Amino acid sequence: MLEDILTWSCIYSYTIASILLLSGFVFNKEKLLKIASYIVVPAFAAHTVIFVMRWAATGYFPANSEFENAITGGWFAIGFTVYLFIKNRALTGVALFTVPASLLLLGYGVMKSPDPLPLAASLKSSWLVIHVLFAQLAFGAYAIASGMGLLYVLKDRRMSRDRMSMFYKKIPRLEVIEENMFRFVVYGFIADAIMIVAGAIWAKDLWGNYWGWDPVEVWSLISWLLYGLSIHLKVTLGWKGRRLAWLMIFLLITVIITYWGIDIVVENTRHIFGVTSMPDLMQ
Amino acid sequence: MFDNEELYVLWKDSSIISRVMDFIGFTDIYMSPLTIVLLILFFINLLVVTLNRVPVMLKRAYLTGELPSFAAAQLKQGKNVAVIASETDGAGLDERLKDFFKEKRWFFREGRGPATYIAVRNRLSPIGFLLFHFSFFLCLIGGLMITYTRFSGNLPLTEGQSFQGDVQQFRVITRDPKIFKRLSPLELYVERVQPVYDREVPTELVVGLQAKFGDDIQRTTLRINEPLHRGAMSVIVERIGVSPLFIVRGPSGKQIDAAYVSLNVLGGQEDVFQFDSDRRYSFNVKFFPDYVKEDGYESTRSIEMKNPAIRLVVGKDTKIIYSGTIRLGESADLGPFTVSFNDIRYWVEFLIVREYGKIPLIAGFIIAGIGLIMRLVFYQKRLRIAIEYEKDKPLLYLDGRSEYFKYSFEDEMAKLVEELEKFLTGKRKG
Repeated sequence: MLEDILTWSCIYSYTIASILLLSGFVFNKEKLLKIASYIVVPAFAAHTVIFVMRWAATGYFPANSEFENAITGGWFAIGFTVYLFIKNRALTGVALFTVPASLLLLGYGVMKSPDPLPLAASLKSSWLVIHVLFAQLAFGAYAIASGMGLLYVLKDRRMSRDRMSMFYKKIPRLEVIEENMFRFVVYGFIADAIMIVAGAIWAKDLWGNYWGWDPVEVWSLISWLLYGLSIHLKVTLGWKGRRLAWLMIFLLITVIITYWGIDIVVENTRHIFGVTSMPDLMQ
Repeated sequence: MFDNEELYVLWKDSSIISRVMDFIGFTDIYMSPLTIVLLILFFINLLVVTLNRVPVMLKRAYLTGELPSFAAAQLKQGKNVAVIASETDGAGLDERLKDFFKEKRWFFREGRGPATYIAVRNRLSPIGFLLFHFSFFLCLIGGLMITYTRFSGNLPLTEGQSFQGDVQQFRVITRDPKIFKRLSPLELYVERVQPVYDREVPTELVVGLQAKFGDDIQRTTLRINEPLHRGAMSVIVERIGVSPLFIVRGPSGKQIDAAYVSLNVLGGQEDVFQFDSDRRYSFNVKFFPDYVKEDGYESTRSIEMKNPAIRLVVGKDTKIIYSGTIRLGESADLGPFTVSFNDIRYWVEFLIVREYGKIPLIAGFIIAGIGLIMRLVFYQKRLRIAIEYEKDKPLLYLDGRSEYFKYSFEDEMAKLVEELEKFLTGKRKG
């Protein structure tokens, strides 16, 4: 009951915050961003309570259903956003990307399976926490990098016009946004690498091989390699500015495909865990 | 390329190229020539680039080459140069600088020019680049070893059944290596199989097992995610099913045939079997672990084995001669004989794997992790320091830069300069 109330409070709060953030950017109203941040912070506290409650109630790391994955993934994305609110208020604009993304995640999770389920035998492994924790850390960091990319593109577009409003003047310098974007890409890249390695070691015990060319595995490798390539493009080939920002925005698509897209589209992935019942017989 | 399958098979059987391709596994999609060519190009590129970068990285880590040469006049022209004016005559200043950076854990050396110094934080960070990129080759070696030495096969065993090392018992051998073909002696005996369910979710699968590796007998319990590893060999529990005991009796009640039949019916699907004694009859089976019949419809209340029943459809030649449901202990009357359902056990399918290459692969993973963290978390920051004397009072010029994060380093450097100034003043006063 309490979990339901908190979940819906989060959803409504993130909805209002998303509207305010969008309006703030469209109409250049800094005050709306400020109000959004005042809504996101308590909503994140409620989000944390849901995360902890679910963990305590089931006894396992919340990663057993679409709902739990949404709670965990969203928690990291919003967690990084709140961290930025505290560390550098001027980077509040990142929430324009992360808050609506987390809202969509939560909405999808609530639609699918919000009730707690027993942990399936295939998920009973200490690698679950390591694998999923780093996966969600990577997602959170990559989402923030995409948010920074969006912020960069928006500010850059305004700067190319004659006069820049006070709203955009308060957003940090483009170089600072770019550096922070890269910092989160690096963070995500390392977390992603640990996630892949932890998954490979776990797969050996569960399925008997480190790598099975499963669609989720292949896409996680593609995603990791593309982020690795983006690091090389910046460090070695000196990519910067608007094209790097666009790259960071689009690269998040590969992560979304890996984490959620494959399960929806592909039926024969071995990454579909959970209930094995006999629906035909039990009708 | 081929007009029909027969021509392809003919070519495949007679062609040396085909046999070579098959031998090295090129007929597997992820080992196809295109993939292999791409992988080879990737690794050649990686090797060339990494080797090319070795001298650069060693130099950047200050392990080879000369220290940079610069002078105060050069630093002064820099845009972000910091200046510290010392009120002392400069005696012992270099020692104090050395102490300061030692305290801060920075690598500190005198430069090539007079009264110049360099200070480096995370000096060995560039070595991380080499570790990370060379780790790919360890992973490649491990991966190749695994690919070419891997044996894997699926072995179904019912409770009470044993495996004496006869490969004929494998349901399927999915990988049979061309080299290292010989497997270590392995015998298995399944003592018990116990699935555990919670709210219709299979939460545990416990398999009591006796394993004999050569002369060494080991009694162990296997679970999903908890396989048995012994050297290069792994015994992994993959899936379970049920093996009902069917006894066939003739008109006089004399037993004609009996067998525990391993069926793949636990997921609700149907399976078919035949008795070896008379293959004219085929038995189509649908299984209900917790049978219930409501309003004429047969179903199961749960997936736990509380009231097992089997829906049996028996065909002879092309005709159906029996259709009905029998519970545990009941019989089906097929006319000339009866088939009774007398017992039920679980069968478990093991994945038996033998492969070499784990050590280089895991070493590759670890080294990659270390390299990545060294290079991207502990990135290098460099300071060039020069002392210039103006009316016998030394002026310190500091020029710094960081890898990757140039702008955020400005704040860090400002703080560092402030601390250095305090340190020098404090020392002087002290």
